Amino acid sequence: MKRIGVILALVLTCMEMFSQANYDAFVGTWVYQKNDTVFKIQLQKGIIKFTSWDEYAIFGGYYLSVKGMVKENYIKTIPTTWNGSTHAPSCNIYLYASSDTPNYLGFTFYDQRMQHINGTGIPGGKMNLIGSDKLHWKLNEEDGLYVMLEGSGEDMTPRGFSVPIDVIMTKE
Amino acid sequence: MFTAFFFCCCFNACLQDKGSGGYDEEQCFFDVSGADERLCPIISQLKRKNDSTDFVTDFVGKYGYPLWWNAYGFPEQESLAFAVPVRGNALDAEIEAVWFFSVYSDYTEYRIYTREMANRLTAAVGGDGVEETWMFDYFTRAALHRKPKSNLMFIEDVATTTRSTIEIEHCVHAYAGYEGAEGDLGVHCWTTVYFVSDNIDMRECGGGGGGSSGSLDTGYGSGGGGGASASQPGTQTDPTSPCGKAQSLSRDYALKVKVCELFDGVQNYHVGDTENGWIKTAAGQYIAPTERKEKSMKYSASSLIGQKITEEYHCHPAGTCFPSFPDLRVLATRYQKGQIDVANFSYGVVSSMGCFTMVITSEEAFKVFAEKVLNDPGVKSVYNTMHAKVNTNGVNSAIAKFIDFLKKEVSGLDVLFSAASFDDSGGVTLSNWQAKDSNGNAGISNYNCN
Repeated sequence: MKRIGVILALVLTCMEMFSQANYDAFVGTWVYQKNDTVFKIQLQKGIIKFTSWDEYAIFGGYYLSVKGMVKENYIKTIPTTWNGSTHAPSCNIYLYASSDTPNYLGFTFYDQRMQHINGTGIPGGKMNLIGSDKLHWKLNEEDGLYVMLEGSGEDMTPRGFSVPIDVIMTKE
Repeated sequence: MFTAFFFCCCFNACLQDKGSGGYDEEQCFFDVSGADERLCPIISQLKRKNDSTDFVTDFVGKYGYPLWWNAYGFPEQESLAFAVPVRGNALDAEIEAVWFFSVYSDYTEYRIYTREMANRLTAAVGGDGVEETWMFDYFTRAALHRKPKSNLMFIEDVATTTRSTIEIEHCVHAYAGYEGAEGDLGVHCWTTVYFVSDNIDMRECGGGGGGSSGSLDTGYGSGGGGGASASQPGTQTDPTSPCGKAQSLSRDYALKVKVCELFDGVQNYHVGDTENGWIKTAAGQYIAPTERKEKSMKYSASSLIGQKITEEYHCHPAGTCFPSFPDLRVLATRYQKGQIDVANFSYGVVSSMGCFTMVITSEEAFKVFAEKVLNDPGVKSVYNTMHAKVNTNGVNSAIAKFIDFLKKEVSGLDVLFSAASFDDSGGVTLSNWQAKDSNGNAGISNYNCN
């Protein structure tokens, strides 16, 4: 019985260790390329400063070119801390992500062309690490609009994104 | 067309002489001959329900046969109520169960009340138990023409009293003892309310299941059904604590019925269904939304002027199990406008996962939180980071991460949850509310309410 207890404790400890987010694995530049379209995101670790506590997070920017023409370029110098009460894009942050699950990030995305929810960002994005150099990028407009607008009576018609919504990206 | 046809058949059956059996082999349903014609719409709805769920077999096995022709009808607030005695399966059995129906303009509620429940209630509240059990003895005399073991005798309607200017109580005066030396055991009035003050489990919601408790639409009936079983009464708890609030909501039968109605709608969701809900005022008035859309609903501002709100519930027919950010803004706005009766207030979101409910356990903290929700963009960022966390453990994670959000923001709100659970036959049950906590890492737990 005692042995079972020790094993259980070890298993729980391991589960606890592996249930932490592994932000380091996401840091870097990730690229998706198909035909003439190049979509890049750059991710780095950061801290969101809230009123009475800090949240460890990932900050990022994005870039899109089509047929050699740069359509969107929001990869800029990203700060290491961000005051969560301020407008993220004004701090060169175009997505912020957090998680408590390994190999997973949920994020809020600021599509500068589509300006979802009056430009205040749309949550519901997900990034799954499916290998050390492979990242599944997915945007979910419906989910993001729901949690931010349900009950408001505001228009919730999807307007789409200016970047790919469901692609596998490779680490550069 | 079918409804009209069936109604005519039922009506015809109701006009026949009263039956002597309990089951109509031909109809595969209870024998309803001789029933008061006012019961016919109810019977036809139950028949339709039985056609799809066959609850009669279970009902008969558990309780016996309803004696429709001995039903007692009485007015009650906004409904017309009927008490239908149920004859047990043993030959010498007294009436041990009464099936109650409350008929409202657009739906009918029904529930079973058994002597066992009554005894449990008596054990909880004390007394001689006559108040809880008299109706079984009444029907033993009136329907079975037999002297009950209690020896109770009744004089009907001697104490008909007026509850208000428009409502009349139907009562009996109970006596026991020997002729000429009867003991007065008081006046007892017909009601469908008092016996549900026991801490019963929430009645079954949704489709499927048996049929002792539930609701029926006046159109094609919604689901409902299943036995409402009694549990031990709760222990004394601080009524202002999350545990006390959970206990209080779980004992609020009117609230349970309304939550079940919303839940039934969500369970039977079809694309295009609109949100629904209600606001209840401290005066006991229910306010319905004036505008209902797929992802929003509104109340007329004028209907809330001068009102204090005790309940505000709405459903997310195909959405999250917790409040959206605008939901929080509406709540904060109502508070700042002085529209919330804080001590008695609960806010609920009904989804397919159950009923997520928030109560204010610290007004001081909630006041600050409400201000932040309305004016500090940082709260929205916190909400977003909360939503970013993955629901590794389904609804439990979703609720837990919302609790984490509320705790981090020192919101003054506590979360209670009435969870949906599904049985093998497709029946859905909502549990009583439980006070929930989280470990800061989306790990849910129940408050220790013992």
